[in-house]
Amino acid sequence: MTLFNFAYNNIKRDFKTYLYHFLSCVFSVFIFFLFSNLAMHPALKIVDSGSTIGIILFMASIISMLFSFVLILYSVGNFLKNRSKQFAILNIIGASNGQFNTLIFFENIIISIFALLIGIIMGLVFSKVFLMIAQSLIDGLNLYFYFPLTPLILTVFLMGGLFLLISLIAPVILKKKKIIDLLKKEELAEKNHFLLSLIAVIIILPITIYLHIQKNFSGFIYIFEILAGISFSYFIYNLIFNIYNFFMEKSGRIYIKNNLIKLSNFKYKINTNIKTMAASMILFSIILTSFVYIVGAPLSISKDTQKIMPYSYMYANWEDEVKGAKKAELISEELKSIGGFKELTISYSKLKNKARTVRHIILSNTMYNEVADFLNREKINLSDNEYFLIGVDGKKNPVLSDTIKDLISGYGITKEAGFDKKIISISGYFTSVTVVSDKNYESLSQVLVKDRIYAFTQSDLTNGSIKDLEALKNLIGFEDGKESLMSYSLYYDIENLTRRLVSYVGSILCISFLIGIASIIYSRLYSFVDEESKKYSIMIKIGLSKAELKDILASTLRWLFVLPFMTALVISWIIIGIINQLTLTSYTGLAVICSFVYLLTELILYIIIKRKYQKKIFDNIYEA
Amino acid sequence: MILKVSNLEKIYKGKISFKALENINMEVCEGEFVAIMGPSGSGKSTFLNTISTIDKPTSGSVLIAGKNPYEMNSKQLSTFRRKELGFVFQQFNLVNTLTVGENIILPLTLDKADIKTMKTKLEEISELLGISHLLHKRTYEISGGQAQRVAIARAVINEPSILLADEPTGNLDSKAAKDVMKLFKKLNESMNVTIIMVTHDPNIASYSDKTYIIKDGNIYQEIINRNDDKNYKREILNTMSLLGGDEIDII
Repeated sequence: MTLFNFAYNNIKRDFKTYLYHFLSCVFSVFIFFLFSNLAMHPALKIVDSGSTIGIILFMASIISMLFSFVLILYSVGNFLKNRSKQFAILNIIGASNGQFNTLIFFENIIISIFALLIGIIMGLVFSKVFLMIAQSLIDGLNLYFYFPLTPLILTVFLMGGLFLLISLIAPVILKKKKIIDLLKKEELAEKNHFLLSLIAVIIILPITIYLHIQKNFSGFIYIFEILAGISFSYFIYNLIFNIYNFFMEKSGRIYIKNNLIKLSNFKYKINTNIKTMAASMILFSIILTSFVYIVGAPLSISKDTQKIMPYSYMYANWEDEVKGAKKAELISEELKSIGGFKELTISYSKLKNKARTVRHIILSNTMYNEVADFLNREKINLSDNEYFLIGVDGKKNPVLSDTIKDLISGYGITKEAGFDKKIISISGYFTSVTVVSDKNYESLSQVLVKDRIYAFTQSDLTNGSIKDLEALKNLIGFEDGKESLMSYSLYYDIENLTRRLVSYVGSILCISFLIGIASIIYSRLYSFVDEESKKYSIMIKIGLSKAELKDILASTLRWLFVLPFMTALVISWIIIGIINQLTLTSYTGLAVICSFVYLLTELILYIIIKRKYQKKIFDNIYEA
Repeated sequence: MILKVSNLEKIYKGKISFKALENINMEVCEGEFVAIMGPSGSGKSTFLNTISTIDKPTSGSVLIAGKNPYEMNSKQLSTFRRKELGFVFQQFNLVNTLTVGENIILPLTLDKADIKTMKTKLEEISELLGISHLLHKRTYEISGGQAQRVAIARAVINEPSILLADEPTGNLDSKAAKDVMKLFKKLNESMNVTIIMVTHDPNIASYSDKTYIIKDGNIYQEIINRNDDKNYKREILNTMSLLGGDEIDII
């Protein structure tokens, strides 16, 4: 028998211990393979000129790899812990450190190879299904089945590399307990790392905040953000439990009902418990928040696109007015036949500015009303001392800049009649838009530069594609740098593709995070079943009732599964509140609906897990 | 001299420090079969742990086959454990993922012995201990007495200088316990294995050549078998009941 045989026998004959680790590995390979399979699909190369998809999928693979790394490391830690007794025996028989490391390395390598094999086979089997799902979720892609040789090689190398790395790290995380502790018959209570977590928070949090203030957005900040999140949540749960424990003891309530058993139970495994809570809270927060956007983002594509591009086509010539008019005529001729076709020339006066992209413009009341008519918006009627502001980026409310204020106050225009944040050109084209009365416009336009844009629209804005835009550009002999021709469909297509892709990728990642939570909580509950059953069977012998035991078990679950969920729900509301200020559409309404769905799901899951866990413990007690 | 213990002391530090062993001196010659007895809490297991590299003594020295294991680095220590020490525990401590045979040759595997040596040694030792028919069974398929014999086989396959046994019969019924003790005797006589065994049972201790009784961390008495088994056993019993006090209290 060699060490390799030994490792192989360990896995083969005690597969249950390795099962979780093995499944985590298989799952990681599977997810990574799915992403690379999609990312390298030949159909994407044709559609994706700006490589948006490539970047998204690349980011997704990185996230999934990082997550796999953490999850696998966690499960390695678990299976090493479960085998501490075997290691003590080996130690005493005289296995050297090198032999330990080799044994653990071999075990990891064997599991990794099988996981790679099975993960890839699963990936191949399911790739057609997942490509079909992707195709139906992401419009306009023909994701036919292809033999994914490159993704296969990539998966073998990258995931294989990851596994190799973990195999090399694994022996290091095996904290060598003293043999004497391992040989003792009684398990020891876990230590409370409150002080350690406090120190971690004190060190990491200020650094993270400092990096934020410095606006240092290098890779560093993300690492510190993650570390801060982890250490802070670990610390917070530690604090919560300690405060709760303190009050229970002070008030004497610890001696009422089963509180003593509940609290001492939690304390006995305090480190594992708090680790489980912090990990599932972080994952829950990510899932609960992202799910709102996964559902919401594809729903509001056309609304959001209209906010940044209100017309089917917009044309402007920056250099030659006559040529511009001719070209606009050509475009109009071409588009005329499309249903609901309308066109409008928007004339305005522009402040002189050296930079071509800075466009402070003044619009006459009549002109604006034409635009409003064109876009089905409300018309306005301004007095001579009034002005009206129009938005320019589709998100923020417009404000009167000092330059314009100085200019129009000279004409006695001082009163704001109102504003509309909806834009009248493509987002960002104008720097500011101010409407004044026709009379004032007459006088103002004398000192300003006259300019115009041409707007074209049709009943279905989404009609048309990037190809149509290219055809139009060819027709008018488009000259880069001298003129601009934009289409709604260009923005819509990009938004549509990106959002749907992000949703697809995001939902797969969310599912893997969910599985992550499940495995963390499962391993916490089930790896101690034997130990706990023994403890409870003693308590039952001295008079603990079944109902009381049920209550105690439910309490464990409330700490581990419900509290992290509730915290995560609150956190996700805060995150959604912050993001709302940055996005075009508000997701509050959807978040409310989602929260109800979450709560319902959590309640059902809680009831199911509670029943199963109670049954498992009862079976164990009464069978023994 | 295979084991020489001088001025051995073990203090457990804590809020209240506790002196578990105090100034123990002991010498064991090659081929001796020594039993360590004492009431619970007397320090007998601590003594075994401190002389067997499991627990470090606070002061004093331990020499096994002329070498001090506490002065070794971890690599030397593991080699030392492999070559010089054999362990038998109350809970058997077999590796449950291995078959009986694989458990026995595990120390040879760690020693990188060649397959032929493994085979011959396994045959020899399993023959001697009467477990040849169990070699392909898994550890959960055999009885407690058989498991302990397997553990003994694993402990002696490397021909160690000392066999250390901590309550080897603690988990066995009296019949199985007797069988295991007969094996110890056999190993001691036929292979000249030096044995140091901790037990609380005078019947088990009476299989040895010499019994040390430990009380409150000190050696209280040394009882030697002068080729009179009956007398030896009586002497152990008397000393123990004196210490335990139960029988005397009644009077």
